[in-house]
Amino acid sequence: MAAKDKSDNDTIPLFRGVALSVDLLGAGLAILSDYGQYEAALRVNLKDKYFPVFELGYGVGKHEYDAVTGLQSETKAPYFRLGADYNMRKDKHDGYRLYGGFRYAFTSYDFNLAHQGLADPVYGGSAPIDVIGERISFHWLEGVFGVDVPLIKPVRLGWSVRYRRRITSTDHPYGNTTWYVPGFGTDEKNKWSGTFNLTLEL
Amino acid sequence: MWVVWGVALAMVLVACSSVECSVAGKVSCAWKLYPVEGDALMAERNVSFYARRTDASGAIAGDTLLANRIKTDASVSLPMSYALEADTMRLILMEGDSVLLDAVDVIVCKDNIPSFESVDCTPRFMHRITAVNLRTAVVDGVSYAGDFVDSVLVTNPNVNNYPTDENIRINLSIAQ
Repeated sequence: MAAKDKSDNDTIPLFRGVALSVDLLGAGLAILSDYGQYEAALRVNLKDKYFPVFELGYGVGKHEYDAVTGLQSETKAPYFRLGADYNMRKDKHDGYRLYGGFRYAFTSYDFNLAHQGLADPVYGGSAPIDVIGERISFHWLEGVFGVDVPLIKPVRLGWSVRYRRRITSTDHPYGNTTWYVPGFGTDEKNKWSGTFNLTLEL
Repeated sequence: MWVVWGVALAMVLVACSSVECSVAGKVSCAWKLYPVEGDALMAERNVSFYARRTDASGAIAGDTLLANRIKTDASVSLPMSYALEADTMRLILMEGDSVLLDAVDVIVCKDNIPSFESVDCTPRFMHRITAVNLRTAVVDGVSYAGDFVDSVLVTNPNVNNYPTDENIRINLSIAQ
């Protein structure tokens, strides 16, 4: 019996295919809100068990003139993530997958900030703000937990929840230049993000 | 079923939004007065701090009283201008409530750095003091020598929203 199991395992080829997916959640945010990202991912299936992943996206954050604070901010840049998922299900070859994994991610973006003029209540006059093209590099890690289910062959649907942590970034004197980081999102204090993926198995 | 839960979770993730601006938003420069030890006469006097306002053209357009009659060994945290390259702070030495003894203008040269928190929060200006100089003050047409100030030192050039005891040290002379 043991010999048969070993034989079954050996019959599974290492390379089981590739899949291309898009993140619908990020795209929805980009269309409906101040920020979001258009992202595609290439996933390699190794023995239905290991899934090296390359994610490439373009993040856009644009806040038009704010009636309360008078601020305008704009950021847009590409980013990538590289990592792997592990299928945590006992039956690896079932179409339903439960992923745990990690990502290393990087982006380099220009930070732009403008204000028509902040009135100085003590000394008089006003102080315009015009920060243009401050280049910032941002590295971060993500822990990933997700599910992926077959919909209509070869289409799959899934989601992931991600816990993210900045590793390092360019130091600047302008305070929180990470209001929107392409691929990372807004507000570094909020460590959680997610994706909703439509996947095509090639 | 997993997909349904996933969609629900995703909706929760994107639905949570809050505006959190820092409450420690005040940026001020800490001035500290140092009288000569044992100078009893100076201890009875007081110093007032006036910011010299500017108009749209940058010309002096009057004074704003920022600290009134503080003791000669006290410290005081005062705002800096958002955009001026140099602030002019007028120090007036008084005896009692009305006797003006001496006055001097302290010119504080600085770099102004806008600080951003979020598009939902009003930006601030941090500062880095690059130099301080003394200049003769003219009050109501009378020119004062400013001899009550011996020297001015920058002890901490970084003016930000972190509390500090001292950015500028004013060493006072022995009272005449």
